[in-house]
Amino acid sequence: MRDYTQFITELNKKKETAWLYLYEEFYPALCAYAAKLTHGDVGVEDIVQECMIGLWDSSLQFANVNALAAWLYKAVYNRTLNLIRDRGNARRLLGNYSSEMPYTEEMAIDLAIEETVIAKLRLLLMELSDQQQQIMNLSLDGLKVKEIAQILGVSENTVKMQKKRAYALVRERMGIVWGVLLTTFFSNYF
Amino acid sequence: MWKDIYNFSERLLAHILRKEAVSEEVLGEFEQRLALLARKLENPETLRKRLQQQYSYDPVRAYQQLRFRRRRRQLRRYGVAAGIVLLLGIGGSLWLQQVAVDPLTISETIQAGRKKAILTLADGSVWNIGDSAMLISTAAENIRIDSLGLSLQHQNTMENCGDERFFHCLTVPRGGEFSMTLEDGTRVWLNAESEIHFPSQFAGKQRRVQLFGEAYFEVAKDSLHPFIVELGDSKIKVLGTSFNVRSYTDEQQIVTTLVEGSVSFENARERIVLQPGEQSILDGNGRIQKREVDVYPFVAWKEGLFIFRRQRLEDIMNMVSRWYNVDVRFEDEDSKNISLSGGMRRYDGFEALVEMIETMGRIKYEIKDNTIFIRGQK
Repeated sequence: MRDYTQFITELNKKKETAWLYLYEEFYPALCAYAAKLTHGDVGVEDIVQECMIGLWDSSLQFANVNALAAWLYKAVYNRTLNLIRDRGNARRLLGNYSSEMPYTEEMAIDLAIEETVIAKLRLLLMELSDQQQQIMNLSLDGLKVKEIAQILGVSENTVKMQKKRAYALVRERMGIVWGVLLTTFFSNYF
Repeated sequence: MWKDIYNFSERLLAHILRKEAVSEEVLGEFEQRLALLARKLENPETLRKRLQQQYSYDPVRAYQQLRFRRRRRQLRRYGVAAGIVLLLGIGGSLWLQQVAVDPLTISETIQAGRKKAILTLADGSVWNIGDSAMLISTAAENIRIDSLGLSLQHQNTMENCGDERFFHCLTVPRGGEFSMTLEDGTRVWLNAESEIHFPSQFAGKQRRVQLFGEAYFEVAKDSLHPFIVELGDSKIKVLGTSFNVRSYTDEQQIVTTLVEGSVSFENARERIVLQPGEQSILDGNGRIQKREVDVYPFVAWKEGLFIFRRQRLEDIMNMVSRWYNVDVRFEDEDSKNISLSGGMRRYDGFEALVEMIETMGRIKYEIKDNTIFIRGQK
């Protein structure tokens, strides 16, 4: 897996590249996380962006990526709770007493773990070429090799070939230990 | 525990990818949880949906928003000098990147400004507001956005409301305008590229707000509590009156125009009292001058009009560029000093305005992307 030591050092120093990577890995995951907690999509990007701004303005230093992830998910969780509370207040004012039931902290942590896993898979898929990504996404949509070939206007052989290459790349990226066992997971799509 | 999220997710991913067989009898609490989460994510349908949800958020755009915000804040803090350095430094490359990422914005036609603003509440939450009605509810108050702009309604009295930390901030970007009613009934119109900091509720002997940029005030009468507009090191003190103040950092002067009532303008060195129809100008050297003016051209923006009376083209274009959010470049120095009189509606298109200026000012213009180039007619 990726070595995060350098990333964390540069993030602490507020280096641009580290911050762009921070957004690439965590931003979509945190947004999806906030959307699940609020049962909706309204304002989730604002919630996450405010947390990021808070982090930028602070002088927080993280020891490792675990501490960083903990801070980010917890910050988004707290902000979301505030939002739900305020929405509840507005509802009461409008005469509607129902209020959303927030997730328990433990459920929220499980959700954070899930989004982190999805983010890691997303980054993995991002390393593929455009055509490979297209093919992977269409495969994820449940389409067969023949259908994908028709949509992309390429031969079935090309689709199969690209899938193989994508698989090889993912295997290389994940390291030999996992590679051997990847087949079962990706067999759903290959 | 929160600190285990990342560690655990790596093990979970490994677990999913390996599909490692775990013998049932040795399953600890930890492995059970791992297996449970893994089973959920292994479903191709779930996985596809969750991946697509993450794909729908654009991290690069969000990152650029953060960078843009930082640039804007630094500009405000360090003033013009820093602004120039930044533009030469990262500013230029940032702009190029944004254009590259979003080619749509450059081909859009240049449009007049409209009602829009960013409201940052004392609790740190940020709201984009515009034409649509909204009700924002906080612990202390309700904030209403409607056709009259922003207004505050109180639920209960707070003890700390005069405190800095309980100041809200309304920021109007270039190409925007917004109006609001303060808690005491004072009406404020904010012009493009301006910002006001105001408390949730006034407390103490004075009613204090802070302003950057241009605004028109109709101050509610309250002789016991003077109304103070703070402009960096200077301030305007009023009891109940209507006046316009213009203090853009890049213009390096503060122009206060009094419509009715009376105000005093003061900085560290001087204090000057204005009568209706008078205007004070604080220049970059800290000197205050007073003169009589026809007030209308200075407050016409609030009525949706541009009015110029023998104004320098550079000053006019400065004002116009804020409203239409365009950059202006003069190709020769002489054109900057052309004197112009005229007027038009603010909501008309940019083309109509520059055509008028072209005819009256004997200049030639060319619009490329979001920049207008101006040169004198030979």
